[in-house]
Amino acid sequence: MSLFRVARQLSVACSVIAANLRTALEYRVSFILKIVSAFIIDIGFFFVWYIFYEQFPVVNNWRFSDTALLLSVAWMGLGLSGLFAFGAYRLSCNITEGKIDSYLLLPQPILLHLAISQTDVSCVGPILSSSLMFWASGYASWLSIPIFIVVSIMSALITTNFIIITQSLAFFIGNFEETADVLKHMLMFSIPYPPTIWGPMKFITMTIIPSFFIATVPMGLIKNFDIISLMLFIGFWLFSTWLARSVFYRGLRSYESGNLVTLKI
Amino acid sequence: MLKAYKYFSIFYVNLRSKTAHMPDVLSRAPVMLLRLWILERLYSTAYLSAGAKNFGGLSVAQIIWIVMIVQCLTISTRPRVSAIIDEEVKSGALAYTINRPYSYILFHYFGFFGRMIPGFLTIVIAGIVSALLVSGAISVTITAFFGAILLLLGGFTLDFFIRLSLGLLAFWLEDTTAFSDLYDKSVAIVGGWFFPLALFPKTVQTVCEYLPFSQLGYGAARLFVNFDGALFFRYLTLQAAWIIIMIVVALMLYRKGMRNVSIQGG
Repeated sequence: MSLFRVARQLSVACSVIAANLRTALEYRVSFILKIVSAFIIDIGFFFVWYIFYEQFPVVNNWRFSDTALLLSVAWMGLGLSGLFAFGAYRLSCNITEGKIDSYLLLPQPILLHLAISQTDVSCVGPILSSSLMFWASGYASWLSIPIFIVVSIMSALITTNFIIITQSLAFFIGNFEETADVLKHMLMFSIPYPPTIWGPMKFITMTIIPSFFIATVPMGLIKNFDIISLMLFIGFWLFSTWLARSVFYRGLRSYESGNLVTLKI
Repeated sequence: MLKAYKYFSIFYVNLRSKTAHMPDVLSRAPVMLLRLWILERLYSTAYLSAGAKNFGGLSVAQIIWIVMIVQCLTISTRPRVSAIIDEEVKSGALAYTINRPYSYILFHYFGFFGRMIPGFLTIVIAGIVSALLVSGAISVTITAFFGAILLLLGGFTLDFFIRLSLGLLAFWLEDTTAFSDLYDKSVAIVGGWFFPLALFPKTVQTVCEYLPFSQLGYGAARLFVNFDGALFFRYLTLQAAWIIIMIVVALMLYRKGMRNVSIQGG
């Protein structure tokens, strides 16, 4: 793929996302309410963890500052993923209802266009709260901030890949929305806990529900940067990207068009 | 008598409809098992680190049973009444339902219970099996069992009226999902969904007990695992007060909202 083509696709993606944000801003009250409520929820959740560690200061060598850092990276990743690629979260619904037809005619890559076609503005809340959590963790420094930004973006990409894989299963299994939603909630629920409590079940967080790569590895990179963990992180990101593309495009071959008439501007 | 039969029919139709969608409810069972397992690991490790067998008067097994009951309540109240009413108001379908020979609020109340009962019974069986697998059995007295049932029924009623009020906000706002999300997550944070109030510091615990979120399922769950007569009457009073407050709020919003409908022509 030429550099020019990549730049052109990025430019189109930016235009679509900007248009999505302008559309969301049309309903100003709702826009602000969604962001504020998401922010309050995250801070409330963070406060509960603070109380937990007040009662139990050390859990298997894991402290509040570790949870704060873990949550900050994961929430930033989830926030960025939902803000820029919320279309991926609606994939199974669009597949079941046969709403992908209009995207098949577009000159841009279908998967990219589907993913960026929608924006969840409430995800601005987690992005703001995760910045506060990062500061509260005590790990924020001039050196760690750039690492935090880069690993959060990669965490967002892995999260999006996971969502694409689970949502694309709707191509093969009918009415998969509920199960895809369950898998998403399983991922979100498995993130905030100390990785040291998982024991032999840790393999679940490295495979089916990849919270290890979405939260634990990037968090470790901020705490103690090492090249092996970075390679592992990049390797898993590349693997998940390949898997997401393969599952989606293989499924697309068996996609049955709907008879809905839709207008895309 | 005929009136009662009318609402019983609404209840029965919704019950039959929900029974047809049991796989949806059951798909949540593995998630509950995973959640309970993670929480059991978390609390066991935390108790071990603190060198305690009981914390806030609760053992690890009791915490797991509390969390299980609260999660059963939140799972069985799907689909959310607020989302149904929000959609009815926005789509204009409300214009048809308010003209029918039944009370709009009672129609939704009985429909809610019709949908909730099969879902709750199914998920609670899955929850009991999960809790037994994860943390083992706990001893429960007959008084605790019936006390918890009474508080749970009140909890479902309170949840209905809060969600009804949130859904009715659609008369004034273009989207009420932000409020519904805030409510759902507040239940998760201070409603004993993963962290029992008994583990909170005393002041925070008292504040949270006065909020409606802990009166949905937490009160019932807390008494189910460790019954206390004084606490039961305290929770019953708080719950009754919140139910009355939310009925008044819902009726006010409904009457004001109806005036908006007639102005716009439905």
